[in-house]
Amino acid sequence: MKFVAVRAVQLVVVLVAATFFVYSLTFLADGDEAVVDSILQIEAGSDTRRSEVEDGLNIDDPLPVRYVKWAGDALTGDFGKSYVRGRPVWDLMKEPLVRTLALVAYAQVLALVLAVPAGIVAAWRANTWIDRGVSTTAIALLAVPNYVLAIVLVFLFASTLDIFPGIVDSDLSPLDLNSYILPALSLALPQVAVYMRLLRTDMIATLQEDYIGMAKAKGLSTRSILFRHALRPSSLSLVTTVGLSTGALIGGTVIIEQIFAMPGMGTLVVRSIFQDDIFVIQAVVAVIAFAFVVINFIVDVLYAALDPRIRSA
Amino acid sequence: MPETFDLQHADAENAVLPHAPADDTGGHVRKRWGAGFWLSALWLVVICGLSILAPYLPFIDEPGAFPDFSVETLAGPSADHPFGVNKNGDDVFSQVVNGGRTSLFIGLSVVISGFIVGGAVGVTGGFFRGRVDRVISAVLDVFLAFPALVLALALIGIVTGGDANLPVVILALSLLSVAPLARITRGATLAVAEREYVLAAHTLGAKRTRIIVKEILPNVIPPMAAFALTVIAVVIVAEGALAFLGLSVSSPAPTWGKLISEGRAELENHGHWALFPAGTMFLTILSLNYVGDVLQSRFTVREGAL
Repeated sequence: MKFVAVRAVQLVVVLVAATFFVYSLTFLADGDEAVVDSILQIEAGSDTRRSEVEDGLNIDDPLPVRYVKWAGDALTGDFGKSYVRGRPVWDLMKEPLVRTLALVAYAQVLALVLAVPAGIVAAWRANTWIDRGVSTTAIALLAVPNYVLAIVLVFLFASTLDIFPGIVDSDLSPLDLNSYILPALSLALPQVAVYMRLLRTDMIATLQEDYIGMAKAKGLSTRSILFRHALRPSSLSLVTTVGLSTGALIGGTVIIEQIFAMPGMGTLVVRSIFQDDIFVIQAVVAVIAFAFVVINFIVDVLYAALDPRIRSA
Repeated sequence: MPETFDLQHADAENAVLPHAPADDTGGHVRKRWGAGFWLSALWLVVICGLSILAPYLPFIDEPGAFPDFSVETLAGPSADHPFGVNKNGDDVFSQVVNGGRTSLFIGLSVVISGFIVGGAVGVTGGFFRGRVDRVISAVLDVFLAFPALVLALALIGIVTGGDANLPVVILALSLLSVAPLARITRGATLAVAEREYVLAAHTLGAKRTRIIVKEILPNVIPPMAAFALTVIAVVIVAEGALAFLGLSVSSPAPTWGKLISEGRAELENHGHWALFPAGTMFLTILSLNYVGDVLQSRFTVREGAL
């Protein structure tokens, strides 16, 4: 329990630092004046006054105070208003957020479903042609950027074979698995290579343990040995990496969403960057950082649950 | 390992660097370099050579040069244009070489600046340990808590308003590479600092700066230099992603990511436009990873092998 408490404190510190950084970046990069000016420029034509905008931003307060007010509002889901689109930021963000989280989740599930059996087989048949085949494929996959993978997948499965859509609907439902398959696969395949290699290495070490020999001697089936006795002790670094790579995947969704025209957080943030819609950029990056940090926390706790030695450390 | 743009991730898998054989050779380093290593190294030499010499080579058009109007636009590979031409009639081969020049330059600049700052931080933390190390580690944790590409996007977007240029891209990527590189250098330093010869130097009364310069650095730099190759690969992919989104260096010499994203529109009928840059990028990343891996396993001293 103490371990969880310590990690929870760390979580809060990291969250505050991360969101403060994102929040202040806007004002530090452009200067308060310029931020207000750009809002007034967008609002030109309406009767918004300079003082109103300044009040809304708490521009008279020092940056840390401003941040606290902003963060307090953000916790209740109030990220301010998008001046470019005249709507609350949260309204613009909530559906894309669900789509992006769904994409990351599907990609991770897909990656594990492919990687775990491949890793187990490669370890079980280490240094045979099966292992070499699987491992070589993995090394090649690692050298393919996901955007290249995505356009190749679109070319094969959407343009040529016409099995899955290469462009998704603008009101994509997070449960529309058919539309999610190509984007998720583009994100998942490089992860498959990472996970598979990791599991293979750990599994080879585990399979040399005495208790595996014992299990064999008892006459247990190969499947039972591999999946019930060897998998769990071999999966520690895999679990950590799955958590850590969530950040890579969230980053990857930005570009994959562009390719499939998926209206997610990535598409939103890129569009906002080109439109200079600063509050949306702030909010999206803060929410992504939040999601990332929380996921890492969960992974750490899970890791402790898997390995009793960590709990007391 | 550096499959996507996330440097954090490269770190995650390499956090085990100082010990733990990543392969199953039982701690024994492979004796021969192997054909794969030489082929990869050869490819890298060719790519680097072309990149460096590009302005002096007659068969490579300068960026922004007039397109060849004698060929049909989007024509496929031919003797004059080995990678074909694009929609404007630009020679794709020249574009790939010029783009690679920029990509590699960015990769190299980022790794060098990232390692100078991150390496210094990492060696400090790993060598002095105690309170210094705890503070450094805590700060690194905060930086590592960001999804790197998203932050690069935000940085470049907010600072340049969507109109990115070379210095900003290099700065943003360098900034993001500092924390992962510091962490991995710290790990390597920790392992070296515990060795007997360092203890011996301490006992003999050597100054700390002398120990760092004479004992620590010579043992930390080689594996880090090998690791730097894989980091270059990560940076090239990341820059490609930014370019793909239109948030990196654009005209007159688009990098590989931008070329792929432009060529994507004609993938079905004129695939050469996107596929040659993509293939070049693939082989370069593959080679960097492979050479980096082999060198790393060469330089990494394993306790078991002593």
